[in-house]
Amino acid sequence: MALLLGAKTRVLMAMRKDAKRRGLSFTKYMEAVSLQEMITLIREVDPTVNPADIVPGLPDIPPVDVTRWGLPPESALSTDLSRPVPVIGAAVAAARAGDWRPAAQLLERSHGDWAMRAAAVHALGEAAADDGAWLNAWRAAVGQDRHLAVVEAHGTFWLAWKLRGDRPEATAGQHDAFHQTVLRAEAAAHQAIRLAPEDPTPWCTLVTLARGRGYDPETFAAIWRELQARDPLHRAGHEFALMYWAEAASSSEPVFAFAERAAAASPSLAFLVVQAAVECEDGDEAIWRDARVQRALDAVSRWLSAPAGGGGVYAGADRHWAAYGLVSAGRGAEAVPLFAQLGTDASGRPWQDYGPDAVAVFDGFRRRACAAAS
Amino acid sequence: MLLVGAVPALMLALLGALVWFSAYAFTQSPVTAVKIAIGLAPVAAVLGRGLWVLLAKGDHPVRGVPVREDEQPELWALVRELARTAGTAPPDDLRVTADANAAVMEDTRLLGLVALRRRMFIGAPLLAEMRADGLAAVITHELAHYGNRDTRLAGAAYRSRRAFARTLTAIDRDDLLQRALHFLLRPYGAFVLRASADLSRRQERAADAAAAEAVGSAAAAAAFRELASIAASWALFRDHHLVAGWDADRLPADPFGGYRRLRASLPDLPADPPHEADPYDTHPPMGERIAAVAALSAAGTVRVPAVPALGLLRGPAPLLDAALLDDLGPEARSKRRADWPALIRDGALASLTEHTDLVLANASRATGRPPSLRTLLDALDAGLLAELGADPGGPGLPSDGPRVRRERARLLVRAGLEGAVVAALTGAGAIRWRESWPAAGAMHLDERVRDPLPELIDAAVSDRPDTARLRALLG
Repeated sequence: MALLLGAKTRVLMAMRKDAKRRGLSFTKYMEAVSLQEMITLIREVDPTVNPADIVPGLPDIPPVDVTRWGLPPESALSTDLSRPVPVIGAAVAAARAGDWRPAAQLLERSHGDWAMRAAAVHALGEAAADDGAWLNAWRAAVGQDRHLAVVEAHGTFWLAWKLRGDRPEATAGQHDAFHQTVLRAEAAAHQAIRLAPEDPTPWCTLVTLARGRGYDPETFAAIWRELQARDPLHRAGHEFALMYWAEAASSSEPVFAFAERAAAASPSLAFLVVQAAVECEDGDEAIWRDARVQRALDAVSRWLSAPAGGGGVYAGADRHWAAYGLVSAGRGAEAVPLFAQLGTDASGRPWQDYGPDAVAVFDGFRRRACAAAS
Repeated sequence: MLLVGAVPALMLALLGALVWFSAYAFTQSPVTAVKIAIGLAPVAAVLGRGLWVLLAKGDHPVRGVPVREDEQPELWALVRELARTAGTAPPDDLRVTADANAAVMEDTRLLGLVALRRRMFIGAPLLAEMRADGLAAVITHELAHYGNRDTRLAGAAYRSRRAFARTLTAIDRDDLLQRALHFLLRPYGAFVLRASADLSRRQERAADAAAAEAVGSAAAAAAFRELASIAASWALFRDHHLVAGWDADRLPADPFGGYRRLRASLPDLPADPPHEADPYDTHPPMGERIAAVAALSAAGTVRVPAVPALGLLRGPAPLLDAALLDDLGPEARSKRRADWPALIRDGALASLTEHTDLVLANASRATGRPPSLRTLLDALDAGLLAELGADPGGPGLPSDGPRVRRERARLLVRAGLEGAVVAALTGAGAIRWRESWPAAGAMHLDERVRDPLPELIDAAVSDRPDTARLRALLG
């Protein structure tokens, strides 16, 4: 009997069964079930089908064995932000184990290397939002400190995000918690600025929380000028500023203009045009065929093959953007070596935007890349 | 009209053809015919259901409170006289609604081609706030749409357009078939509406002119201006102030008194407010309408005194109140009436104490003492924040780290404590609630509350809890 029915019908029957088991109507079930759960269910029914062919809207995941291309299996993938850069990973691991000193030493060393400092503060901030015990111990040991202050500010912003949750729907209570905590993060960032007036990092925290705080364009521009004065090519600052403009602008043009201006200033910022395409791909499916995006993908690839690009703190981040962009632009085969270099690292954007489905989406893109290469 | 009728006619023809084809197939080969019939049945079902939606009478219950002629003879007499002036039949039915406008509608069949019963709706806010001559202008405008001042075809087109708009709104439901129908009809509907837009603007101008001729240019212009101001402020009032005590099961004892104070507190609106969201509204901009009406310099033929429109009503308060209740639904009847300060207090406390019961119950469970504010403060001092903030139905995830869990707990306890403190201070008279139009109300602290409350509450829920100042304040 099962042989006579198409995979689609069998998936539908399995879904009805699952809905019944959970005591939900089919409509309610379809609203409640996550992408990942649906993909798992489809794989249980038939591991050789592409979920996108079964349920429209599910990610396009060709039934490809990525390990044949030397990529790690899906179960080995990790979204841990701190892993890509070993020194940051070590400091974060120590902090999570309660020892604040490696973090303090890393921040002391990275003062002046603003790219490393921003990446370290971002990863340490997340660790601080999960468990503040090591931060409290650090504070107890040193009192007021410019390194501690930047982590506290950025960590409070991470805390706000975690209180809100990474699902698109959030309750009024979660929104309230988010806004109250963003205000605390803003105050903490200003405190960090007072302690380290030369440091762009707390200004980057303000740029990061701009969307959540709802700054108007004038306020945002003032913050942006301060960040640029301290580090004109600040990588993380540009990334979050582009997210702010993508939300504030009514069309994709100013977003692309911002990205192209930055990309023209340095190849280290070429990824911004790919990011701009990601920000507007929901509203414009043709964006991946745009010549500006194609040129930017070439530029990021060139940058990654140069020592400065391929060996920098943000090499992994650039590979993530490039891999996502190449697969989306129908150039999946070029993305396979990038995925090979990324290995098990499925952290950061753009995957992070998919919340609990980040790993599934990352894996789907790997499979599409491999399918294109075969 | 032809345009509006084309779709159902085509659907009927197609349905007929399908049935005929199936029947014909039966006479040729019954086995093939069954197969064909199975294939065609869904199509026929879709078409039949679509026709049903189009042709059936709108099954919305009629809104508003009916007003009999013997109950409100003055209002009815005015409406009859205005209908005569506008050259149309008076309505069969007069209803007071909670909308900020007036309207005439007809129960129709066949997309508005056959009219069964004419109903006039008058919004309670208009009766409460306008002058009698202004209300007369608005009523005349609505009646004039059904008059014979335009050509007959124009009258029919107006009805058809309304019917089409109704159809489009009615079939926009959560169902694949209706969505498909909507998808098919919307571009067509937009075409029909665009085709008749110019006609419609002419009709609006004619209706405005009829209003000006009836009550005079000055009164009509003033009425349109006031109508725009009422429409804008009424939405605000109905969505916020009227239901400010809803969660506390309170409704205002004097809603229209509050509405009048709200209007007085709002800045004057520009004469030409932004266009309403209704895509099928083809009224010309308000500024243009007012200028056109003033340019007519009509003296007015109907004698309507420039007194408040409420003077037209016998026993106005219960009638206006009934219209509000009708709009708010059956739940509203069980709400208790309260004056505005009490309503503001009860509404604010209901919203502030949303989490208080949960937090007090947690305090009671953690300490084994009765649930009270004192128990809660003692539990905070004992460092039981995590236990106090336990929320089984909350948004917590298994992946939440300890700091996230603690912060969630802190925010919940903070909200619950704030509600309990504000309620206690209100009970002790240290907090008073006052009207504060256009805001929904304001909290006033007396001299006993020297430190800002949020600061005291933050101190009590901090990692090193300090409840001393709160205890001192609560006495």
